[in-house]
Amino acid sequence: MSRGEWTERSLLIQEFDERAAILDEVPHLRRYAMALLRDMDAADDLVHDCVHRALSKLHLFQMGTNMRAWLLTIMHHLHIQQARRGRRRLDDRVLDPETEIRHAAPPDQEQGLRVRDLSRALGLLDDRHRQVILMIGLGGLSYKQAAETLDVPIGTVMSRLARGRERLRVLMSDDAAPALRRVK
Amino acid sequence: MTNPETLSETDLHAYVDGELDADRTADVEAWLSTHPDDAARVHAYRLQNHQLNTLYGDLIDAPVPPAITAAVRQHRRPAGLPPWARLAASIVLVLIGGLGGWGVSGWQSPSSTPTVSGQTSGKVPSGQASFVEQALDAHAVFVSGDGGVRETPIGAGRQPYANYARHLGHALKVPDLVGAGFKLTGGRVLTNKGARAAQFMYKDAAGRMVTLFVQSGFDREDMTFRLVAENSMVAFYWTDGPLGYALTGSMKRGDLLDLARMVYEKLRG
Repeated sequence: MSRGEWTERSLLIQEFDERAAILDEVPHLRRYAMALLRDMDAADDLVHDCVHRALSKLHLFQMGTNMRAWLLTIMHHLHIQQARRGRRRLDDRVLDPETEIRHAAPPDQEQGLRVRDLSRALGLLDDRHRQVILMIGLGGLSYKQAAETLDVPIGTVMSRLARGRERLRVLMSDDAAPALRRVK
Repeated sequence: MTNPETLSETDLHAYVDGELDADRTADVEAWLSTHPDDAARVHAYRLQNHQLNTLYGDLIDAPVPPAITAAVRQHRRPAGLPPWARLAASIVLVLIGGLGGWGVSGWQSPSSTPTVSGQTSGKVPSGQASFVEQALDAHAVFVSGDGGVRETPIGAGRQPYANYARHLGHALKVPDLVGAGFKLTGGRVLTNKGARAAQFMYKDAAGRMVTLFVQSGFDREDMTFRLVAENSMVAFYWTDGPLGYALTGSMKRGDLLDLARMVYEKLRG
């Protein structure tokens, strides 16, 4: 390298690509949204809105924090907004169980029946209960992350989880054994 | 075992979700072994999670609607965000291979012999990577004392930076870093084949030296904040309008980052 020449060195550039990180999370977002809304089109609309919002707020994402929790926070806020505007399509209409089951793995008959019941039972839950059940059971968030995502104390997450799951259990056991249903 | 009598509803769920420490987990397991009703509920809750994942599991491998993928791929960062905001979103780490050693790479003090035309065979890159290489070179050369580089003390004259601004062809600020313990000790102007730069030297009480390299002639609004590490040196660099800045030092990245943040804020302030 002669003096007076601009040096040329090999450069290895490693860039944290937050767009790739978002793409990695899209399947998880879709799964969560589908479980929450139980309608694939509505779920994809929500995911699309969520991704769009996330991209416009990328500068607010903090390196080293959990991308999924961040995205779910955004999705949660969007979901609240949509519910307020009455745009949520789901709870206002009759669901087609065949549509719901379409995305389920094809297990044996009994399992298929069960998971369909689960989807229906989920739909009967209070929205706030359903959210924590899905965030933790499906999204894999810790209690702490779920509390941050929903902006509620961790104790609230735990009590909602406990109530929601217990209600779900009762609903499911009633469904699974209609002959044994007790008169309450 | 601590206190199995006080087992609560939420303990059962925290047990299902793996949120308990080892002691409490042992408590719950002991409790469950003697309380079949609760054990059945724990089983039911686990089954819920399992069924949830069965019901929606294949969505993880399902193709994503192209509209969503396209929205992400086509996204471009909006221009004009401060580099600090970008830094929060993205740190670019550039590792330079240890080639070449420390040449002066063509930077000449105006007082020394100007670069002659016969030496212009080298490619003149316009990219930031080359810019920061020059900054690293200039820093290394200054710190090592090679090449007879002398800093010119910046006095308290009426327009201490006027010469630098004239050289760069653009108004510039020289940030005061005393708040971080670094005193401005001097500066020099540099020229390389028409590219004009200035270098300012700072030193703290411990003798640590950092240099701020400023080069004019940028026309891109690429304000991404970048980090370069070479050997023991670290540099943060960015461009803001027509000026490119690189802050270089041999210190911990976090320390230099704090300093770079201060530089940026003072330049913008």
